[in-house]
Amino acid sequence: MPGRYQLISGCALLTLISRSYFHYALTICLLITALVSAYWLLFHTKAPPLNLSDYYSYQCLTRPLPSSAADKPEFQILTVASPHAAQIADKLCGREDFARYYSGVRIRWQRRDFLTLDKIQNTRFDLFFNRAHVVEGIAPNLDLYYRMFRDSPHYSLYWVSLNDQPQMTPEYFAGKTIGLLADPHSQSFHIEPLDSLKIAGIGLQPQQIIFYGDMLSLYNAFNAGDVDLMTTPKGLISNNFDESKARYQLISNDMSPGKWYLSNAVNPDVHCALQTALNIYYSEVFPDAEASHDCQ
Amino acid sequence: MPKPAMTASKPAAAVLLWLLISVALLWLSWACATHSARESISAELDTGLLPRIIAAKGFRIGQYERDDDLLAKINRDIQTLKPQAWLPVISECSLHLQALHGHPQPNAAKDGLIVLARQSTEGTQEFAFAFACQPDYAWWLPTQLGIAALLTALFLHLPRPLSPAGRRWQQTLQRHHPHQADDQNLLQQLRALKDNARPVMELLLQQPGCPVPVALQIARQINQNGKQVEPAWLLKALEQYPDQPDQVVRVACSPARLHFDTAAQTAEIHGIPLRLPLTPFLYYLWYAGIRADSPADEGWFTNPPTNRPDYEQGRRLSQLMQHYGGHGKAINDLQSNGLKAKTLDQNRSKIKDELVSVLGETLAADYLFETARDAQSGRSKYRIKLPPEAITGVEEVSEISLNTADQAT
Repeated sequence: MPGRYQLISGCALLTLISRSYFHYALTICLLITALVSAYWLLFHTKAPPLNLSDYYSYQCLTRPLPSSAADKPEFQILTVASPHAAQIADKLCGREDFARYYSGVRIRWQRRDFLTLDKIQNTRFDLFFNRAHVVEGIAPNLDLYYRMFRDSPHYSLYWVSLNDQPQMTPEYFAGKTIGLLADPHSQSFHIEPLDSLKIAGIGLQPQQIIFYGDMLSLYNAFNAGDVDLMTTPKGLISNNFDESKARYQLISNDMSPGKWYLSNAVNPDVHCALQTALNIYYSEVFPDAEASHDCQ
Repeated sequence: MPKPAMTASKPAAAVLLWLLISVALLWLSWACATHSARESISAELDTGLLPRIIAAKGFRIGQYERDDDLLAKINRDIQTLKPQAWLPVISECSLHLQALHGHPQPNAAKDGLIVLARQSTEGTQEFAFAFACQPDYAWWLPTQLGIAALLTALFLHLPRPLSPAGRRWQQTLQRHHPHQADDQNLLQQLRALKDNARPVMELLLQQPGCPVPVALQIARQINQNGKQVEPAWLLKALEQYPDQPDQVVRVACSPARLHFDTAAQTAEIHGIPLRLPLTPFLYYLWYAGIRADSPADEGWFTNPPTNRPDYEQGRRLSQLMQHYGGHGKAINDLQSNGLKAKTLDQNRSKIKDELVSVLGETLAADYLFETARDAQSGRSKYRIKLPPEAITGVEEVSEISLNTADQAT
């Protein structure tokens, strides 16, 4: 009978354990090892998949209207920075003429290179903001899908230093370090500064240029003195440095932040709502610019 | 079948052991759970969250971002995680990302920090998450305490290793009682024997005919009596009373004494009753009487001359025989022909045969006769070897036959 056999061999094992201190200690060690292994397997814990929201978008809903159609789409906007994004979306959501056509707004902000040819060809976004040269470089036949809806006022770009007055001369830049954004699509903080040095005939050693992944790091480095110079669209954005110590050198006063492009499929009835919403953006970002398009 | 040892552990010791094992198991289960949870969560953060902060090319996605907004949003998402396990120990874990920039701060977080690194355009960026888990007390505590109780019971039931003394007992058992060599119960009883009982026990174990429990009983009883036991007598007692441990003890502890029970025709030697044939018994009794009534250095009876039997002694001996119902033939012979040396020799020889057949030569020796040469007559004289005080049951003999201690003149 198997049960009896197991009982006998089990008892035989027990007697073996008691033969000497060594056997006993060995058995205890084996038991402990078995226990630890069992615990390792039994209590192995797994994390659930992370439930992460989209950190680079904002959504709002329009007020449901009794007279409008049931399944209204969501209006998709793509821009490059988060400031004022929520305001634009909220303004649109609050307008009745807009609510007639759309259930809500989702505005996303991503790097400029997020916009790709397939997104344009599929009109993934109803409205997007980007620089003209970027857009035209991606899609030569842009007019098939989008048209330019609103241009931005131009702004001025400056070199800024906290130590001395910047000058566009090789002698000034010798021994200085400049801080740039690493993003090669960034006009103000990467393309334009480098091009302006080239125009001025100033050649820098590689170690004189330090690239940063985001604005905060760049500002921190500038304030800490890790870099001597950075660029700034003076007056356009609030700067995170001590403006009382800052000295400026103009690079260009003809900088365009970008244009808004609207999908050809969007109903003209909402154009007014869009212009009004963008008015907010411009009044916040370019307070000195002239008032823009008016409609009801 | 050998049984596991039930140790005589006090309940307090068992409870203490259970508590110690409980603490160890609580720690072990917690360590296993949090370690694997941490690894799993690290992997999730690395593949799920970090790509949303730093893109594959190494750029920060939110380069114009207001950092506190992004940080707050991230922490809101990862604040509470509910890990899964086959046997749940952790109810939930909390995570908190310290900062999107800078170096990890040393943190007094309960379960430490998870630090993940990424290569970005600014160099190596480290993201430190404060990590803390809460146990599922309702499940964790009872299960660990329960398992600890099981393990405590298991441990207490494990047979203990043998001490050198225990191993010696086992070897002795192995040699003489192999079937019981692994009986833990027996070994425990053997180990518990008092020092005085051990030599007796060892001796008894070597006797194949004596079962171990019987041997134990004998050894304990002898130890209780507190008597010193001679091995030879113990073995003889065992031989005589193979299934009666009480008798064995009685005989082994008995004094070295020769006692005559005339009613039973029995000479009790060292506790062992020997029934002798009537005539040799009576001669033995007669010799014993002489020995018992004499001073220790005397008690001899010299053989009468071969040509001149002792009529006086013969008459007295015949009186003794008559009193105890001896054979008529022997009585008549004594009365008619007197006490002859030859008769004495014959009877002594018979007594010897009887004693030796039961006791063996060595043990019987003290209860048999020693001889010497009578100085005056030159004839042999004989007496029982035992000292007079060791002989009992012969009080009447001197009354019945006169004290004839001195035949020697």
